[in-house]
Amino acid sequence: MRVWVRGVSVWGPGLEGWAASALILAGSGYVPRPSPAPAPALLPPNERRRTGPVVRLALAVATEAAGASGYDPATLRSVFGSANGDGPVVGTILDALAPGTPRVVSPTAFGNSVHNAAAGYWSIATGGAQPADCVGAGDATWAAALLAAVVEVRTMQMPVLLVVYDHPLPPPLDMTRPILAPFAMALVLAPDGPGAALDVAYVAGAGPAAEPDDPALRDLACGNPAAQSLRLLQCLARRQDGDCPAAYGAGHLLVRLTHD
Amino acid sequence: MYLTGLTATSALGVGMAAHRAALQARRSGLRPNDFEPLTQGWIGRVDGVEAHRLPPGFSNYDCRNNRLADMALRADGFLGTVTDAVRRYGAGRIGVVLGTSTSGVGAAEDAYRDRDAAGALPAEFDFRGTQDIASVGMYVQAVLGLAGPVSVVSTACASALRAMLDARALIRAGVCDAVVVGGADTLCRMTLNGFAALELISPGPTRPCSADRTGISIGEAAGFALMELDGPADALQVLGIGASSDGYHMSSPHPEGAGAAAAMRQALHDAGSEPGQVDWINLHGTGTRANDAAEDLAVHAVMGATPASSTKGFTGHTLGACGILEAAIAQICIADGFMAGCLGIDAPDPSFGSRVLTTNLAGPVRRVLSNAFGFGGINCSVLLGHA
Repeated sequence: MRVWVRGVSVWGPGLEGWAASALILAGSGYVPRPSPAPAPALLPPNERRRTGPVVRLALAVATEAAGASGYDPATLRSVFGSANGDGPVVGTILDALAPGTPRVVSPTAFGNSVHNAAAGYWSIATGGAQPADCVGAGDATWAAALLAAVVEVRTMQMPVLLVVYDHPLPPPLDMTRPILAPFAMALVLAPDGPGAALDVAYVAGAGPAAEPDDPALRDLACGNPAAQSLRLLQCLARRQDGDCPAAYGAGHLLVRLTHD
Repeated sequence: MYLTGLTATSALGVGMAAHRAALQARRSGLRPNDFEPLTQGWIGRVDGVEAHRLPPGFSNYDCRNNRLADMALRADGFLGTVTDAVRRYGAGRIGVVLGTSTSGVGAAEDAYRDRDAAGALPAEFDFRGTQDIASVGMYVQAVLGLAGPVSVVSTACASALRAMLDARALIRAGVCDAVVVGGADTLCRMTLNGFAALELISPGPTRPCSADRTGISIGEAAGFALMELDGPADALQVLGIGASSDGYHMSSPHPEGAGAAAAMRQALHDAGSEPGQVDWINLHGTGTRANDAAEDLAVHAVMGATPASSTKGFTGHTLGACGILEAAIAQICIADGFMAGCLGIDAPDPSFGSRVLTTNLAGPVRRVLSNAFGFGGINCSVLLGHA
């Protein structure tokens, strides 16, 4: 299945947007540093103050990739992929429900705890009526979300905004499911060019998984499910053709990038 | 697309026969909340989940949500349906796309209760096998021995319907020959306390569409079907699916039901159907003041006087699983020729424009439009029946 890449974004430690990161990803001098995502300017102030770091992370890359695509963001269908959703919000609810605590669940926190919270805020931000899909597949979330977006582009013949993000969980959950650092990426995928072509296929059975060629980026890719996209992002930054396969449960995803 | 082997388990019982009997007898599965002492109201609790055990070798997945999923998998010969499909297509050509809103978060609630003096969670708590949003998909794929792509859709109460849209795309794109669809959502303290904090829990059994409705009753359910391009003549078909976003508010529906209306129109358009070809609408109908009023406006605008009702009075609101549970209800109503009217109400809200059924109505039912709307302003509508 072939789709075309119309917009790209990334946000992670030391990767503060595609415009600022493409040269870093193309080279070899990546240095991680804390990079909190900005408050989403697209949201009205009363909604903006309800957003935490996870929603901000997802909206930062959604905004940049949609803007770069040339499409009106309100017209884009979307697929949001996240292994863990909004862990900090879920953590506050679990804390509130634990014995010995005041036992009051915040209604705002409950509304924000759903796995599709970032997608909900994105649709509020853009005023878009297009559907949002929200998926999780553990460590295979990058592969699952990419496949969902590609089949949606091909079957609907419409452009799709793909947003993949994961954020560290709060204690004590972080001990059972460590996430190295916040990381998000977004692509706008379209049924036709211009842009780099992406060919994607699912193959049953184990297969190779592409890793970035920079050691610090490799640590990030191993430490955050969304960052398994980093090899593809490096190829996009270098305008380099390449195979960027991804592990996917009982199978794997073949991902080939071709520039014209 | 066919939904072969469709099965559901809810407060009405395990499997299709229990649902058929309760729907025809107009017997509710709701009971006073005996699950969470901190909240009031009634719940749709499935008996036997606590005693159910996952098969040997799967203990890492053990939690209420995966136990309920396992109970549903073993009803109505669904395991045999999948075995036949593996023989025909091969395990690598069968995907798994399920819906859930809270997965096994109940296991995390227990683990938080049992933290040690230093605050650490018990060593036996398995995040990936339980709380992880994908755990039900991973469990179902593993226990069925499938090797196609697996994914869990979590779009709040629209999860299981949205999963059908993703599954259909995998088949249409040629990635899969068949996909196990459905999902599971179970009672947990997070949803009961969360909806209580939003003041959306009805003190008595939920009474969707009544003028004095007072909120929802939370239920739990799991259900499955094998989606495939061709199937047995009596299998329910997915004729069309629509999906939209409100872009309005995280936990309140658009007051005029604009997104709901868009989803229904798309489902009809997708099926190439006119509103007049739909016999019954199974409303999302959660029983909250805002949801039912907004949905009424949308249904009246799109579907006119087509008979409509909510089955939440039977089952409770089963959140991310309601899409597959209500597909199972549609199959029963189509097969038996009746529409399941709202339970526990004498007359619909007089301000409603749509034609709300408050008793079961006998008659041929060929096509059912089934709605599911969720937090985050996500709306899905599916047209089910026979072409």
